[in-house]
Amino acid sequence: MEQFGWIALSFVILLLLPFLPGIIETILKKDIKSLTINQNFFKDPGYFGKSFKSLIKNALDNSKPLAGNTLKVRFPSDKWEKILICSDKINTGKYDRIIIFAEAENVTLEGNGLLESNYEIYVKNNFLINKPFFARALYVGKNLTIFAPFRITRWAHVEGSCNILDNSNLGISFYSAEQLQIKAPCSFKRIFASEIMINKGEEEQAFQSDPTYMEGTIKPKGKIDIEIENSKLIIDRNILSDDEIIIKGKFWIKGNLFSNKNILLTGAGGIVGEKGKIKTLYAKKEIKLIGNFKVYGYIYTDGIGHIV
Amino acid sequence: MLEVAFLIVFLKAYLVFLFILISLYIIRHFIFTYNRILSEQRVAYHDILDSDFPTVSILIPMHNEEKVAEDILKALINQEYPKEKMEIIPINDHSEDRTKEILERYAENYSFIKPLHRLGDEPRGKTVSLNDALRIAKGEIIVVYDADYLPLKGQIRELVINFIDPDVGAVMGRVIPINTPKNLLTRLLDMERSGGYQVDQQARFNLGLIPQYGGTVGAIRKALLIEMGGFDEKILAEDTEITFRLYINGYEVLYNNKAECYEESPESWQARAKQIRRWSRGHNQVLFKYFFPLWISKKLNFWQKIDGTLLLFVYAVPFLFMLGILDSIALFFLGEMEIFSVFWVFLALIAYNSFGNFASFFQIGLACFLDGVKERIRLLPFFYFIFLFNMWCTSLGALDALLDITARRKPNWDKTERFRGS
Repeated sequence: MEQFGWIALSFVILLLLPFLPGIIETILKKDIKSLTINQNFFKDPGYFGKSFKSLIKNALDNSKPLAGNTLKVRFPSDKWEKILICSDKINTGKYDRIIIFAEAENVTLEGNGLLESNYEIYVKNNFLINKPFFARALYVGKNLTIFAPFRITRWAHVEGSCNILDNSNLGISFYSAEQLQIKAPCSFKRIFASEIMINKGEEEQAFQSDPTYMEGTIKPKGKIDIEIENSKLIIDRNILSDDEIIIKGKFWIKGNLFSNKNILLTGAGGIVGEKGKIKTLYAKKEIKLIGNFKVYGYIYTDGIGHIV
Repeated sequence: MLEVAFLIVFLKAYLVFLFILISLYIIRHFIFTYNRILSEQRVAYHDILDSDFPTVSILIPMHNEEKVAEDILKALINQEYPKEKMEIIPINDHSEDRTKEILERYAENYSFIKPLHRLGDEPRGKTVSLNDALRIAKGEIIVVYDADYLPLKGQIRELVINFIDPDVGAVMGRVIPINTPKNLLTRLLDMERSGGYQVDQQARFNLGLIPQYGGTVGAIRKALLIEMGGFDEKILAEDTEITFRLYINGYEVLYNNKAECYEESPESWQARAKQIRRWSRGHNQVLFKYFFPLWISKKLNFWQKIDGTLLLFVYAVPFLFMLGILDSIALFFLGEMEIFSVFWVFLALIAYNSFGNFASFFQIGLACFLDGVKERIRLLPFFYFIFLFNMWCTSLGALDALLDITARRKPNWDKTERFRGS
């Protein structure tokens, strides 16, 4: 009888054993929340800059002055941070706090070497980067000109236009509300501007005489490899592919370009989009732009983008 | 004596058939899981920013939805989509509560909210309501939400952008339960939803198979829908029906895993049982309607036909499996169970009995991992009970569908109970 009791007990234990972790979790409720969805999310390429700007404005209202042009400010997370307030110039060197240029119309860098910061830099008006510049993020209230090596690890947001004249790494997101001119090699993930001129850019007038037209969206199965020789091609809609897209020659794609792999644009010059509209050039893995191009809107890759 | 011998052969053959069927489903779920974790993931067009917006009509069927109506209207008013390009058509389908007053109040304040009141002798139901709304909808794209859904601010744009692809007939987003913490049932349903969307739907999209339009958090081209005759009013699972009609006509359903939307899961076992029974009934109606057209169609490739067939049978398999259990009991008492003396065959059947049709241990486990949640994976063994529960409710639904087709009866829409605020 005693033996039967042990067998019965063992049976019950073995029967319940697979469910034991579940029973514990049901009681303890360690992981009970719904998966998080940000109900206010919408796709906005200027999101980082806009939220940083409003964060800084609110933080400055809750600040305490410290010695040496430094403020102690409180962020919404209740975290206190030190902020360095500067006038119109800043010496190169390494900085360990947020830097704000709140007043000067034009801001430049002074000294030798590079300016390096793992924090954000806020410039209310124009910013001229004339020394090597490595920072986490940059907000510029008016125009930005870069003619020294430039590297951003997170984002840059320019409310005016931007001119890039030296080798740059544009980080995860680069936003310019007006025109963005890129006249030097750079790498990027996302670039947005109402008009992006790459190298010499390209003009719509160049397509006025004898272009070849293709109507409708192009979406063949497999790789797209278009080579345009001694002609100009106008595609009035989108080019979509789950494979690679390669276009060589002179082209004007009035819609979007989308690839689940790579995009390579090269040759005599091209335009993506139309003035006054926003269109997108997206490749999941890599975008390579070699030559003169104009893009109205957004260039985006989950991998890495290169402008050569 | 001959009859008994014949019966034994038949019963054994059925078990062999069932074993092959079960193996096919296990392989299918394993391929999906493997694809989701190790293969290249295909992305939808949601990362495209395009200033050319199509016009959109958002249809929300509502029957006694006073508990949830305001929430979805607020979420839609808050959309980051040009208001002049969108209209919201909440369809008040014979509501007896305050739904009508709520809709009228919002319509007074927002010109793009245009309620459609269905009253009197008009037949009630989701598909007839949608067809009525389709007649007055002006948008190029039709977006459908159930009334308990809470679309995030950028969702209409994220769904609609996918129609830049001319091959896309419909788009489906991801559904996430909002009331997960409520009880054990809602926690398990949350995991089941994760497996179904995060792994199953995405893998089918990756592999170019048949992702399913789910009837909510989804969009369809209006011109195409009208050309195809609108929603089939005889079928309860209008979402599955539209999916197959689109594929047979040469269009595809695009699954957008990033277009996430909260829904309310059933909080009682009774409500869940009713929901599954309705799904099963509707899905099996689609099986009877599209099994042959799927294979005759020249628009689908071989693998799409295979996946489509397995998808069509999803709600029939539990019923067939239940018959298999009865079959094995009969064989046991006839002393003929040696057919399963081979150990691994027996093991496979036991495994299927544990894993269930939703392949919880592959798909749901991986989905939880991809969603970055850990502790809830411990609840996975409870899916054994969920499988048994689903098997029973699904089998009832399959029987309903069989009776629908044999008795030529028209099914009534049985709405899922809402729990918000209770």
